[in-house]
Amino acid sequence: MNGQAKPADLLTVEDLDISFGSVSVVNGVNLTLKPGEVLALVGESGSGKSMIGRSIMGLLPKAGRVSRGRIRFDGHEITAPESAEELRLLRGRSIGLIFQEPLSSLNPSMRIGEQMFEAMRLHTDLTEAQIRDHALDMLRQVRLDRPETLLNRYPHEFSGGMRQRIMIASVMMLKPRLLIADEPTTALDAVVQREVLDIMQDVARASGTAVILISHDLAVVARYADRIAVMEKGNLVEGGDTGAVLARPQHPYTRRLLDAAQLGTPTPVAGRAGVPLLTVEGLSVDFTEKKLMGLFGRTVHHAVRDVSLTVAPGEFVGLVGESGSGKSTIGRAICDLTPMTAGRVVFDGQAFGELPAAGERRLRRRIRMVFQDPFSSLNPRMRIGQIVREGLRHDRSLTAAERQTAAHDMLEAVGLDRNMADRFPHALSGGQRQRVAIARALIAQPDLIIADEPVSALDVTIQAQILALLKRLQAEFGFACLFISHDLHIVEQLCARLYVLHKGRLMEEAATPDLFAAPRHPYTRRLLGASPRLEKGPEGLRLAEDPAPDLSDNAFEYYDATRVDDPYRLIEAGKGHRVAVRAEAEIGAGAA
Amino acid sequence: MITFVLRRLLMSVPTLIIVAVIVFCLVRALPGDAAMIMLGGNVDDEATLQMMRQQLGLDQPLPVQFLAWLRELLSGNLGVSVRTGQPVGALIWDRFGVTATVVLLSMATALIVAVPLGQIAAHRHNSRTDYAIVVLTILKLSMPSFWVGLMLLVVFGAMLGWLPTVGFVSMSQDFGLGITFLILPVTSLALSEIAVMTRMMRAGSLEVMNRDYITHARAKGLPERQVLWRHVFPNAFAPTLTMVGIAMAGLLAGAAVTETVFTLPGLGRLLVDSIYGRDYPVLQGALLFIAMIYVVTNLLIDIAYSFFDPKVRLS
Repeated sequence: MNGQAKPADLLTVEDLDISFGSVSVVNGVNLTLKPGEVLALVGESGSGKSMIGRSIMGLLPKAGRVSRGRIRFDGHEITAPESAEELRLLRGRSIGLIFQEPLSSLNPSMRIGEQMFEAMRLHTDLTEAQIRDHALDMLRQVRLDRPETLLNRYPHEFSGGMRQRIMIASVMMLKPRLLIADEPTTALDAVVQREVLDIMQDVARASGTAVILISHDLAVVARYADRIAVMEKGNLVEGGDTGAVLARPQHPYTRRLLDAAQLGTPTPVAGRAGVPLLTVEGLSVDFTEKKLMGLFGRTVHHAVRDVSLTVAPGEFVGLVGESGSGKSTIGRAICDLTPMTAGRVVFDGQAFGELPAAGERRLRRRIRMVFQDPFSSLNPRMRIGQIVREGLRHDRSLTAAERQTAAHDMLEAVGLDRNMADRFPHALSGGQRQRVAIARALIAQPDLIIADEPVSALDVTIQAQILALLKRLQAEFGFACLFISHDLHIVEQLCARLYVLHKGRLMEEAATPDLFAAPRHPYTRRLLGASPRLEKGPEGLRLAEDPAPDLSDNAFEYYDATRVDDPYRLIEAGKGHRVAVRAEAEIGAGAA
Repeated sequence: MITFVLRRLLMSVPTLIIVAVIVFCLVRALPGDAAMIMLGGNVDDEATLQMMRQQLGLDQPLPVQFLAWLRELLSGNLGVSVRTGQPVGALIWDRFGVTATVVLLSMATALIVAVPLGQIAAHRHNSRTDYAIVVLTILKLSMPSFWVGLMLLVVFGAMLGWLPTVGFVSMSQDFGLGITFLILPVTSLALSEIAVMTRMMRAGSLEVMNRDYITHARAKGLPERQVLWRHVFPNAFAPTLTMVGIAMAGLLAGAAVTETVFTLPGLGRLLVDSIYGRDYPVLQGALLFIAMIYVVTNLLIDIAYSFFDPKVRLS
């Protein structure tokens, strides 16, 4: 017959409206997808993108319904199925779904193997042994070692990245024709995110599966998508080939998303020269797990090993590394939220632990923290005004009215309306809550803010706003900040100097421009390559290539943190630029 | 697992010793004179009373009495009942058998009814079925259990005459007849537990049903029945299980009210009777035994918990 004809559409969404009660969340959306194609569905949270994914599976939340339009998939009318059974048989076998939170999408009380076998048993006639072989094969495909040992384990025994790979293996085992991946990597850090998406792409290609990749981060999905569809407040505002959308965005909203993804030109906040505000010397933190009340020995986990760093007054310093690198532990140890095993923390010339208790408390009040998750860092039973005022509770000289005024002024300083003081946290969006958290930290005019992933839980467009806010506030109040993040491109925006951390050890430290221009340590380069960003090309925007120039000069024998027993030291690689090498390694001949 | 059980049992020894001290003191603090009651009250003859006290060991100082009791206890001897002369151990064990039969049967019944009921209510959240189940459980929760027991007796025992109202026949003596004596007390106890457990199960299931892994189970194409049974139930059951444990220990320790209403010779009745009779050895033995019940029940629940929550490791 006519083999030249374009392949028929696998999925057609026509004029789709989805509403929750009288609230419409998706309006007149049209989409098509061909077999094997990858479509990125991009928009902020609340844009309705996830609901489209759910409706294709016929799995909208209870209150939601398709109020108009139709969805056709491979000859089936999803919106008007002949029976509920017809839809159920499509799920899993023909359409697979992967969720955002790898921590909550696997059943915590069921073994991994059982969760993988379940769907196979339902949809195929294979024997138990065949199903098992198939599952092992899939686990190998998602690059998990020794899969035989994994099947009998429970989800809580795995890291987020591993769980998401298990998820991919379990969904792709049935070779569905369509995979809906709803923010599959948002909860993961950059390095792992890249890995998981690469694996997903490989596996989907291998079985010819079409993919709808739902995400708020255009830059992340652009690498993998053939086409992009942009959603804003329930409307599809722009759609087209990835290259074309990036190069010539038509709709203002798309442009805004693209601007957010570029994050603009870095404007580092350099500090004042002279005595550092904060000096951390030889900090180590161990976590000890006792076996049987200590009778049968103990396992010691070295979370932080011998880390030294400084922060100048008014300076923004970045602490970067993937999850588990110990970066948050350092922040917590400085604030005495985690006990130190060794090391010394000197703040404004005075060492913690060497002062009388009252003096130390006074000193510690000048350090404040901002946490990652604004949904759990604000007490849900306190009003916003109370939350912000609490930062002043140690200052007895203030009257209630003064506190109130201070809180209102602070709310306005972080760009919130003073009327918000009477609301509860649940009435605020993620970005607004993070502003409240910043207001709470700043109200006592501290000298140092420790910000632990302050924007990681937010949409890209909101991230840019919060970063701009921090910069503006710094200019106004002059505080210094230790900025903890897994994303090098985010810390690049504000930080004058960076420390790169891997498995509890410093791998590299340098002034930000130096680090980006000439990253030395292979781990730093891997981090740089992992978070994709958009850049201006000759024909508009395009996806940035891995920005790290390869400096494989073999000048150093770099320290590899995965081999913890190797001897370790930091050596000078340039002015203020230090890098981790194996201790006996000497600087090579051609090194600068 | 075995080391865990042994260790937990070992850890319960100090608990039991403390309980023994408290029990001993409390019992001595009861007003009234055991010797007087033994002799049938109102005895004026001081010599007879003194002899009785001597015979019961009550003339000794309290610490001496305690040590004597403890010594006997450690050799496994709980003493004899002051009133009937029966060995306390056998007496408690006998009565406990009755209580345990009633309690275990009603707990099993309650679980079999409440777990599906709670899941159905959650599955049909905000439907008529759900409302009906919620209203019925609230209704039951607001009725005092002794009143429900009395009503059951009135309707099925007195008015319809289907079931016996007074007395007890052990199932080992006459199985068929024994069962007829158990039906009403078991129903009465089960009804209260069903009401509480259904609500726990409903709340637990509702929370679990919002989780991503449940949507994910549906996205695999699993039929709803399997989603509920394999994915919702194990995760929703843990809080209910904790409650079952607490309720079970409480009831085993003496469902005194129910036993009184249905005139069952159970542990609760034994306790009440021995308090009235100032039967110190029985009272002390029974209270100590009840403490033991709590220890063992909690241990069993912890072990059961580890089956439902793999994160709980027995160590």
